[in-house]
Amino acid sequence: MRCGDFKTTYTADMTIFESRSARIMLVLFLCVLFSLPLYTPGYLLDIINRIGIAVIGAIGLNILTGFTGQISLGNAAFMAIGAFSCGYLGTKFNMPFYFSIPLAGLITASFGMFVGIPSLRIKGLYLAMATLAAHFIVEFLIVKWESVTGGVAGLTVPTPKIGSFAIDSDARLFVLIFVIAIMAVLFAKNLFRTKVGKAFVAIRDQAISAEVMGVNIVKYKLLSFGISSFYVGVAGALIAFQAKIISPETFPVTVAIDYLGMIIIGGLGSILGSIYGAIFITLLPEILRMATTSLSGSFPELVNKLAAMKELVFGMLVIIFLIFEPNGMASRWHNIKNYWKLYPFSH
Amino acid sequence: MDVTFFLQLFINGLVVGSIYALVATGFVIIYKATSALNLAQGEFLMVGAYICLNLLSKHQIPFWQAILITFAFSALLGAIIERLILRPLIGSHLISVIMVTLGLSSILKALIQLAYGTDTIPFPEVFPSAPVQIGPIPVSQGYLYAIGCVTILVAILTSFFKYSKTGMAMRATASSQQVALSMGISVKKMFAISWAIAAIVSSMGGILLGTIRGGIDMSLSFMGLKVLPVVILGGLDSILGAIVGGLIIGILENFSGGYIDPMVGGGAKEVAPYIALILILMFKPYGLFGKKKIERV
Amino acid sequence: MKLSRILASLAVVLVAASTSLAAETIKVGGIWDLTGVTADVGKPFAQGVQDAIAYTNSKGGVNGKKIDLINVDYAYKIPQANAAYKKFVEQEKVVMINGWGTGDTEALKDIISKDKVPYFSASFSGHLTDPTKTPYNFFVGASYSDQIRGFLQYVKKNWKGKGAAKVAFIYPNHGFGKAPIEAGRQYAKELGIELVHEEVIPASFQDVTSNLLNMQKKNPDYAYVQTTVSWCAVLLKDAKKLGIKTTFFLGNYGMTEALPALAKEAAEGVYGMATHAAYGENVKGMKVITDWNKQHPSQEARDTVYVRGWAYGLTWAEGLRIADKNKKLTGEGVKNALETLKNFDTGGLTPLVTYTATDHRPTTKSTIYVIKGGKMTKVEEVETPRRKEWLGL
Repeated sequence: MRCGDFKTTYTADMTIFESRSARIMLVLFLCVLFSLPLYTPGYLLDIINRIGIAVIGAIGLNILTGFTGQISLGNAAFMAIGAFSCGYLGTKFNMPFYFSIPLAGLITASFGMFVGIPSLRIKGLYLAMATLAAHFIVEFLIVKWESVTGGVAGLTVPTPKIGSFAIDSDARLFVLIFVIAIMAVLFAKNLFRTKVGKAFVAIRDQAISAEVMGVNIVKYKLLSFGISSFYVGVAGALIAFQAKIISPETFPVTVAIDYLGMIIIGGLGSILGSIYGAIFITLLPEILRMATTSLSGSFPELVNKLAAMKELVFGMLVIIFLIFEPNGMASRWHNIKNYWKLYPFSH
Repeated sequence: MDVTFFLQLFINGLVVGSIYALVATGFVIIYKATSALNLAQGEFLMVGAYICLNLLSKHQIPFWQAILITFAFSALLGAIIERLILRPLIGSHLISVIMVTLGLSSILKALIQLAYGTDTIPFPEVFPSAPVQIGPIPVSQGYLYAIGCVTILVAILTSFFKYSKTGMAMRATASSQQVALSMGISVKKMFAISWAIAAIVSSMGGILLGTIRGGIDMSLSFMGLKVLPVVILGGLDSILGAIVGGLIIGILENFSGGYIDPMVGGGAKEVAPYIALILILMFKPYGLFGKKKIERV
Repeated sequence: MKLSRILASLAVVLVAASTSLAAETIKVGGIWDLTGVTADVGKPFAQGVQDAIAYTNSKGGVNGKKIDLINVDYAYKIPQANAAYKKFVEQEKVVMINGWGTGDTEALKDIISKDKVPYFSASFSGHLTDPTKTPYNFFVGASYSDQIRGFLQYVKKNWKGKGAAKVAFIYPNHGFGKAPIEAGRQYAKELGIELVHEEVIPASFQDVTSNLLNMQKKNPDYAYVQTTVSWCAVLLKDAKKLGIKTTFFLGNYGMTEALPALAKEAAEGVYGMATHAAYGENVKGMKVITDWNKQHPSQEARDTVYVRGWAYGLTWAEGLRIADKNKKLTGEGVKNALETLKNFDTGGLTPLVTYTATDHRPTTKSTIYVIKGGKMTKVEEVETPRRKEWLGL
């Protein structure tokens, strides 16, 4: 195990994986990950697919809120735009998914940049309010614009196909989702090694100083909204394919709150944190459901209480994490790793 | 122009708006005193309504006493929440505070759901239901009582802040915590009192809403979301703004429902406050009565 | 020698026991709204179905086989319904599902046809009645469309005023609310009744004063409200506060015993369509229900929606019985079995149920009730014509 920090080149300093063993672990992890569809049953794969989508969305939100410091409650609305764009492109224009997913992302990104315009003038709570208002307005528009979205009846999304190969099973969807997720993680990680990413962080930490130093706040704030919304839009498009039917009810404001919970519990400003948070929050209702169904022999009333318990546990976890681990699971993991790295000299 | 239609919408807007004003006042009190944003105000309203219902129906306590007991309970709840949850987070990131109150709202909602279920529970008839004629319009007596209660509460609050020692101490804490501390004011106590008052004010709103609607259920917590356009309109740190903002938003909602809904086939009433919010943010981000924030590096 | 003989016979017995045990239960999925916006009627419905199945199992089940009803609360959220459906079909391998809401049932209708899973919904949407479009969807009772037509027939019969009667439709903008509206529009036109206003209300609300005032501008004589009982109660109270003179008619999820409890005086004189008997009503099958509830007392109030659930349970259990007798306990087998039901009697809990391969409307009869003295009082039965062109509307 390595110890100490001795770098001689800039490349070495910026590298993502600092040791040979880390790279090997990553390759092993990827192998295990992509072997999952071979033996995992359908409904578990469904949960894992949803985790993959959540990872993409959480990274997107973290780019905006964790890295650039712009609080946004409009996540659910962006996902809805991504999902309905993708569905509409698929049904109306028969566009294959490898065009409709990026295009849905771009549509969401432009909308995101539009919503980001207020961020140039207002910050903090006011921006959060504006994004929340945007959510309700988008929800209203989705319900009303029936020709595109199908209104309250919703939209049935056509199965993605490559030629005649249909991606209609959970296993095939898994491959699609995780290929995109890995690209998303890589891109995000690299983003924060570049000038753009560092500008984002500068805006979060001290926007006025950054502006004085020559960082173009307008450009980078809008870019942050754009990139973040692209991610979230892609996640929305993938949800459309996974759920097969989308309606305005698929993206209520609680989805936005869930995603905020993901990045806070996972760790603001950390890609790994977004992944942890996504896994945790997506698994939480499933674990609760398994617990209540297995206990339902002795406590049959529990099934009725499941929804309330999920809310209760979610709320308590958010509060506990915020009080005791404000930097999220990523920092806790970092501390644990460091403890073992420096053992027995850990502090 | 149908005057009766207009007036009915106006009065309904006033009543609904006065409840918004109550919830918004609670929000603003907390913000002014502690710089925290309490997104769980709607849940305080809901808790107040359920407690009062419990006292009225299960324990058969007369209405005015039930209100006082509910207030006591809400004050205690507010103070406990402040101590346990908000105290450790003093000084942290804005988004942490927002998330913590969101977490709190989830917990409160869940506890009420576990205790009472999701069914609508009928609220006992407290005010006589026969309407009173004001000019050409029949107005439900419950409405008049609601407006009356809100006015009295606001008057009490205003005199509290203006004339009582604690009220002045709270105002001092709100304008500068450090100076207040150095003057010997227990800032911690002020925080606790502000949360207690906010909880009381919201629970009054919940009780009134229960009596007007005749039944309460989980959907009461959505009032918490409505409060946001109100405080933005009125100004985050102005109680007067909260009241005026509440009334304006209530009236705006009803007019949207009455005049715009038929044009768009429904849904305009719910989305109008949010469109208003965006417009206000564009032109007057600090609201009608809020103070402009000067940022320093 | 002796030991291995004993072991072998033991093994045979165990295998036989396990296979027979496995064959003892029939798995059915239940997707309910216990905590969502329609839980006020979702919960009693779920309890009705569960109790009916518990009762059926206590009487020996389906040809000796017990029904294993697996319950999931989806809180009226369509994505949860999708997830529950996937789990039921892929993991639990249920033979049929009893679902709940219009939105999710209509969303799932293509998949259940593909997977051949018979789907009973508590949604009475007319869109689920045409077997050429939705061959695997069923429900027990007159469709929402036939209910609104029944209302219009009643209006036509009882309208004594000058000129055409004026009606308004009030409904939330989701699948359940919108389901009967087009049918109502067409039939009103056919009967010469003037549809003066359509008012869209939210799915959940604290007050609908502005909506009611809007409706009042057109001065309808009757208004049909298609939403669930808690929201009807709020609406009726608001209407009373405003002094609105319109006579209100509720759909079958509005006219329940909970209405007078919630709306109190505002419920007096309000009419509604019922597809099932009120709880405790004097029909043949009610004794079974009241006896069961005496033996298994519960804190929950029992009402017509509970009876509805019970009628559902009895009906599809009968379908399972027929399918099992024909040794065709598969999704398709159950569907075919259900389509042989002719004038199936639930004991008067609901009008006689008939499904055919070309028509999934179990009945076109419904009963009009009025709230008098705080109680659901029967007015009369209506039957709307069973027209072929109305299939799927």
